[in-house]
Amino acid sequence: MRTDRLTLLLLILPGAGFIFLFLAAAIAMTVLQSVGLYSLVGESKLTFEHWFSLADRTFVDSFLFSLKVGVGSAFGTLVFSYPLALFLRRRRYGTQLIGSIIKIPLFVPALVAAFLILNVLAFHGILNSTLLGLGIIDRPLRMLNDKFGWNVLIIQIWKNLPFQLLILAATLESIQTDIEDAARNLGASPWRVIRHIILPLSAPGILIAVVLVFILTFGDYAITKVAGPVYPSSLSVLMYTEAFTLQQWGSAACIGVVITFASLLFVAIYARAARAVAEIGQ
Amino acid sequence: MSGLRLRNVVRHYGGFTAVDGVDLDIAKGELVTLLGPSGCGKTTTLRMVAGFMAPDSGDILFGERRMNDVPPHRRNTAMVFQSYALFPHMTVAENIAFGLKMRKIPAAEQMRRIGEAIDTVSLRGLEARRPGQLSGGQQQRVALARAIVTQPDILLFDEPLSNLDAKLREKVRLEIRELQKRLGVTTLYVTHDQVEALAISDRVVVMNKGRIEQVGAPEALYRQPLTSFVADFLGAANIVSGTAAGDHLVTTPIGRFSVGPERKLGSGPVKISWRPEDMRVAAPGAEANIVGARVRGVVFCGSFTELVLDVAGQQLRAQVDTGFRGREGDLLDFAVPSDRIRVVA
Ligand SMILES: Nc1ncnc2c1ncn2[C@@H]1O[C@H](COP(=O)(O)OP(=O)(O)O)[C@@H](O)[C@H]1O
Ligand SMILES: [Mg+2]
Repeated sequence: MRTDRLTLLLLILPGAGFIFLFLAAAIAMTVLQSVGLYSLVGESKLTFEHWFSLADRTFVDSFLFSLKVGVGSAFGTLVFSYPLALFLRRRRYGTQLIGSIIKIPLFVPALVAAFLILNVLAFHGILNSTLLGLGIIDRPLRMLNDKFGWNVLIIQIWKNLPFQLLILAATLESIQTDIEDAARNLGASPWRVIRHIILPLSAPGILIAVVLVFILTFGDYAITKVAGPVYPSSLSVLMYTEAFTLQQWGSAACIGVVITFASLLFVAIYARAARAVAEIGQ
Repeated sequence: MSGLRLRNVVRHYGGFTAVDGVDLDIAKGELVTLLGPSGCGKTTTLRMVAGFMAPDSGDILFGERRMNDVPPHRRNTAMVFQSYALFPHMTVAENIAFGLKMRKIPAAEQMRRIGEAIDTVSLRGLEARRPGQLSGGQQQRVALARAIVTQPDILLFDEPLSNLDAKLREKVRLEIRELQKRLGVTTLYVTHDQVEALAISDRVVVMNKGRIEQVGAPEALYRQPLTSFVADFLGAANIVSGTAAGDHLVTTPIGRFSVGPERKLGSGPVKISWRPEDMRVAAPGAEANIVGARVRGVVFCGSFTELVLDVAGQQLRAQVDTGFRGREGDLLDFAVPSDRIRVVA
């Protein structure tokens, strides 16, 4: 009994210890730094000046930009991934090939992805050249570093499509074909089968897919840095600038805290919603 | 309401032929059962009638109307699935209402018909439950109510009782049959359980490897199987190979048998078959159709005793009454009445 416990402890120690050291401890450090303690530069004393310094236009704009990218990517990706998952569900000719090609972005690092898409969207990129060549436009369109952040959204959707697709495919897979057949048998057209059966039964999967992509994109650095607008930047980019360009480590820590806790908040919302949905499902 | 006709229906999966030229006429209001071992193509046939898949060739007709290209939601069939296939996110009442909602039946009539269906299957008080909160038997009733409430032209059952325990199975079997008779709805019922098929059907279709072996009323099929497959699949059968020796005589390695009068045999190899319950201990001095057999096993089965017999290396089975006092190892004479012997293919 005692040795069993000891074995168990030894088994979970590396994993749990790693998580504690690099996650809990790091988050705690960041929180403390945001209020002036454990400062890496200068003296340490309890102060909220870093938090007050955040209450300016730049931070608010960055926050809203990150929120927009997070929400926009999460739902923007869903618009593509859900119909695709529905299509790939019924194995037809070619679905396997499509399924594999679509997973490619999964293996391309974000920074590389950003550069790849850059080549397509750039002022003298593939898209503009093609449109010019076809005579559809007579001057190249400025699609990079646009103020709204369309490029960021496009790249994020491209990058996150396979994530959502994998989650949604697994969810749809778990719906018995008998249930769908029963609905058709009772008079539901294909559209109504989706509306009344598939959609509600895959709601938990949709929720997971949306929240996951939100968290992945809300804290994005690489893609915004490469393809995003000059102003505003994302929270992560702002954090980097504060820390390494302006040497404002305290402010950077505050931004880190905001990113972390916003993500945690969404995880919590998601967990509650998922539980509610699961209860409905029973 | 209409009859159902299958005309030379064929269906392949890849290179494998699952349904191989099925011809079948089901009259209005009739209950016909597809009976056969697992994998013989029963479900595939049923799914083609429901419209979930199309035949590769052949026709499916409801009444006079060819249905091959009609999608399932326009067929007005109702199916009870083996898995029940209830909608897990809907209550019992919502499940039953689904078909009516899809048909855009006015709300007041929906309420009335749902109430009726719930009474029919005795689910009062459970309307607000979800399928996950019901027992297997209750789920089965919801599936049944959901099907009949739409007043289908054709009712389809795919092994609806296979997930119930034995006692409940018998009870629900009777209820389904009564309900079907009362509604007068044309019904195609699938099972691999021969007792269920015999008990519930107007006619039984025995299937084997995608083909129909024989069609008939339960008793006719049981008494007059045409093939050794049917004889063996419906109940138990003793099947012996032999040679025809005259119009009503068959010579076999275990003796000569005179067989029933209704078929002339000619000559050549034949198989004969009889039921274990038609074999009895011979009265002293009897001469016709006598088999001298060694008793290899005596199994008490409650209402009868089952004997395992050995005749010149061939194993036979007999059912005798429980007064039987023989033992393993005894050598006894058994008689088989000639009108109970069938010549089978
Ligand atoms: N989707 C499928 N793909 C390939 N083979 C199948 C498929 N469905 C059924 N089969 C095969 O077709 C045969 C008939 O199946 P089925 O109609 O389900 O038989 P039954 O209901 O009589 O058990 C079986 O041998 C089965 O393995
Ligand atoms: Mg089957």
